[in-house]
Amino acid sequence: MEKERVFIKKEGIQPAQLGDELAMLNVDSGEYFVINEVGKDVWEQIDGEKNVQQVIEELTKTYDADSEEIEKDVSVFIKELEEAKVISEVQR
Amino acid sequence: MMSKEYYRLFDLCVESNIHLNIAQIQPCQPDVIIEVGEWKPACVDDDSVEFEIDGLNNIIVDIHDMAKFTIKNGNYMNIVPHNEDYWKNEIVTYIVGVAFATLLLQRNVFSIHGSAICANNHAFIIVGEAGAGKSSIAREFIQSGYKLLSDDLSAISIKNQLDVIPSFPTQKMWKNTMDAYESSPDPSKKIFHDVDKFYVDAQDHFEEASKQLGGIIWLEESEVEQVALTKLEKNQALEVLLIHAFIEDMVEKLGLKAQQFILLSHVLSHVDVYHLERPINQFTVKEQVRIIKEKLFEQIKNKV
Repeated sequence: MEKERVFIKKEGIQPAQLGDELAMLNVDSGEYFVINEVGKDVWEQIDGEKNVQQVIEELTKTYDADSEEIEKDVSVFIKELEEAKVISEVQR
Repeated sequence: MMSKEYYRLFDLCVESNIHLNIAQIQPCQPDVIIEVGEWKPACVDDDSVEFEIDGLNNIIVDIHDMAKFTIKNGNYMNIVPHNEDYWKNEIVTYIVGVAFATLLLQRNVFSIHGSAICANNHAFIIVGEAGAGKSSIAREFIQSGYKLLSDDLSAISIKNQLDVIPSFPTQKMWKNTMDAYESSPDPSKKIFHDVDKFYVDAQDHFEEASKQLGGIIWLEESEVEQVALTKLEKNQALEVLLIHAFIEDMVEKLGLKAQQFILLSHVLSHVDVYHLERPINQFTVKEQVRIIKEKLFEQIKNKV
């Protein structure tokens, strides 16, 4: 089930504040990418322990939006972060 | 060997036993010592470059067809030329360019490849590829009464706020740029023996105090019909700064890439990058300056 997946930040990723956004550098490859404020909040919640459902719950507490919308955002950003290779799924 | 002379470079007092014809001599308590020793032939007879890095504070760059540079602790530079009658200006250019930028890294100061102009009490850095027209626009700003903070290499200090540090009062200029301003090059100021580039004195138009960074201008020749200025999105701006970071390979070799990335992102949290596009093969430098004055400098004035 998608929402039970757990992600962890990869090593060697240097985040940096870029205005309201967050820039991330893969120190080894030199690749980098930039995510917006919402993406930044998702990134900050990723800790190798919380699953996607729990991340959504955390963000629902801080955001004044309905959980369906947050759910959509979270899955979009997790996909993006995964594709950018800055997070990886914890295999259990 | 020559006697010692003192100069102010990058807001540091420098003692040097080689005459630096890019700055004025002025007595001060030295922060940095530059020593040029007796010449010694290179161990390899080609134009390759060899690095020996023993931590951030002990760096050797051996440019086999020029000289061996040892840069230590952010306060010492030793140079051993590899030719008996070496081209002095070439060595001086390297000392106050790559070698000094390396020494500044040891002092936790990063540099951007571009010249800086002072306007409305702020610094504006102009970056761009070789041939984009950086020195022409810098010259035009000077002619319009603005002051030069640095040529080619803009060091950024983060001590209190984001400041651009004044480097030294000289511009490097192509002969054809000088022709456009009807100034004739001084043969003793030819930078490289085989390139038509000269030092041009900017003593009377030099800003000696650090200035808060106001913005960054990325100058590029492009398919536009008229000079155009647009503000870049932050992610694009970051790409531009990463491309124009100075001595990128040294930063990487010293393991400072992450630190540089944080600094550049921090810079962009405070200022914007503006893309200045100029039409190909047209002399539009006056128009470039006019647009920047109107759209950028005025804006800073209103903010202050």
